[in-house]
Amino acid sequence: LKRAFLAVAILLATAAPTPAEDAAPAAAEDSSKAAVNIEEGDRIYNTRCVLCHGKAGGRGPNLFATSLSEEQFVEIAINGRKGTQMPAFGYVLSPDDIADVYAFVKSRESAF
Amino acid sequence: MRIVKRSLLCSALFAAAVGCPASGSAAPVTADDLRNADENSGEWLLYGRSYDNQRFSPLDQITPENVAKLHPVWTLSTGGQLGGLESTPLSRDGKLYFSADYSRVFAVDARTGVVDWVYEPKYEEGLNAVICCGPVNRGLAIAGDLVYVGTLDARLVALNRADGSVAWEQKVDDWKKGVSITGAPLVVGDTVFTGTAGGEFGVRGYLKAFDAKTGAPKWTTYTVPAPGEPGSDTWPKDDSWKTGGGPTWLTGAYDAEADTLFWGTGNPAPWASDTRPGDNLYTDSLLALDPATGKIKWHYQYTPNDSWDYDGVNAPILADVTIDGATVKAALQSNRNGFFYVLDRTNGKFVYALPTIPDINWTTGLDPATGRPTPNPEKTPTSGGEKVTGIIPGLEGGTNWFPPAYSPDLGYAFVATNNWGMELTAWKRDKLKYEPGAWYIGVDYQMYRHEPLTGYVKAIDVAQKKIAWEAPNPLPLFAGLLATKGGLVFTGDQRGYFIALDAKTGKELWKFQTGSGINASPIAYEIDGKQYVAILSGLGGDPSFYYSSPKGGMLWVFSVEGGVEESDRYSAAVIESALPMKPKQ
Repeated sequence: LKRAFLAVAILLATAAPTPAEDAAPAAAEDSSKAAVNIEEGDRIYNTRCVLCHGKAGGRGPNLFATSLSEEQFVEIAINGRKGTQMPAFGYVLSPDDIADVYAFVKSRESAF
Repeated sequence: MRIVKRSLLCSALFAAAVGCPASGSAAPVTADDLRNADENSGEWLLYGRSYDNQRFSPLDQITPENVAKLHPVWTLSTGGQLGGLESTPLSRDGKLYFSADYSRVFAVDARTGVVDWVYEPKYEEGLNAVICCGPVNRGLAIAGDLVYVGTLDARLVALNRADGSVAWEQKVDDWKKGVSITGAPLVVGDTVFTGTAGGEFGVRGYLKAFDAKTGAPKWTTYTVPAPGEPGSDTWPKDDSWKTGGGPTWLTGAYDAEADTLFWGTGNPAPWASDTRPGDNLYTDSLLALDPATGKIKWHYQYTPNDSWDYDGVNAPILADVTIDGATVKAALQSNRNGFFYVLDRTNGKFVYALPTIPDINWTTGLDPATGRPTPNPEKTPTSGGEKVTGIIPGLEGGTNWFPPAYSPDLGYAFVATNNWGMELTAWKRDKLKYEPGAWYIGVDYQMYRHEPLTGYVKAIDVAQKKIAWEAPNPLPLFAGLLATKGGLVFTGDQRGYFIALDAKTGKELWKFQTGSGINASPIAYEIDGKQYVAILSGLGGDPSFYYSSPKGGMLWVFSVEGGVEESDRYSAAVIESALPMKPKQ
């Protein structure tokens, strides 16, 4: 649920991305945060991300080798990345969905 | 929507007060103009140049003997987000009309490239997250005083040819379900037809007809029948038909003599065939329809119960050919599944098929009488089963969407093909669930190259049932082809080269580096006795999944005559405002 507030704040922000360090401690202390679901992250990756990011990279970068923090990952997925073909998934995926994807890509070296 | 006009002479206010003449006195495009487009040597009025999709220009000023002198005479940047260009321009009355990424439409002077107007559709936020294969558009239709374009958010828009203003627009579907329009509309008589894309999003495909003047809907023909309709017995008795695919994302053909509209259909959804036992009509098929009613006259299904994403959506070339001593009114189609089909277009009967690539293995063979394939169980994934490797061709085909050409002089069909393979792993059924706007294919896939040379332009001698020549290319090809009376074949490649081949031999005679990958289709046109050849260059669409090269967005126009055309690429209005002229003091 904390992620939802974070995402709203990010969606409203039009300037620089919210610094990850601002949000990370609060998120870590948020006892109401839903547990990540790697299986659901697998399904979402393979229905939303795989076309561009491929088995382990493609038109988009290899997310299985990402060095982004979870907060950075969520921010980029929610808002897209200007100047690239990365769309804003905040209109179709929730921050919890994207956190599941993050857990999935951090759990293995390729999609399949 | 934003329209950028070169001239303010015909402003909305001015038009309302006194009326606006058609720009450049452009004559309306009549139904007869379109029907006889093949005889109009200097213009290019239809997506496939003529209703038969032959993409054969009668122009012969550029030949194998002088093509070495071919040089650019003007270029134009399409700007924007450089999302990839896949369009076939149209030419009419000294203007070029073409679409760019995000279904933007340009009207420009065909001699100089000076822009008359640009139409830029506006989209809601979130669209980019639910489009399949890049923000591409493949072309326009023109008829009367209107230009027609389909948009990525599934609208059909008619623009006034004089100034690019919207004459009418119709919502075709809800884009949030993953439905988009990327193909060129087709106008026959007073009707405009459009298909839609969305096979990877579990749409139920259809073809729609609208009144060309008003946009009023006329009919919808679904490509997947509902229970009780003809063909419904080829689907399981469940709800799979509702998400069964069969999109219509390219442009059809029209046989005026028979008054028959032809339209191809795409793959069934999801991909694993055991999720939908049966032939799954009318996916991966060619449909022959009554253009007045949308009633299906006959169908021919290339790939029943498809497991491999072998869309049959490519429009056929209509040609009368002599085969085994008999004249055949043929429909020629180069398919994703790796075969080139010759059908009798009067009744949909199979004549013959020819492999366009080596080592096809998804089928153990086609029935010589009907063309029906026998699927190879070793190359057919099953839900929850093992990874299936080494499937040929890969899901991109064979021949993907890029349109072939046909020379009636030589009896050759010129097709681009790719030699590649794939592996597929079909998900367990419980992992797969339909969500509007989400990918609904239910497989993990990986494409593979097999050898350094992947793409080929091939000339198929239709009468002799053989490949006459082939011209290899190191990268997969994704551009359309143009054949000319002058004896040349033009196409482009992903390295960025615009290429001219000898139509008789396939020998490369000329090439020019356009600066980005080419995924569009060339045209030829003529003004004041001067032949031009035009091609859009800009990596995008599916090729951008596989390679990284500079993005681009340029229209290049070439001729063997004259030098660089004098013209400007700046806005006089902006410079007058931002950098006003002031005498020295």
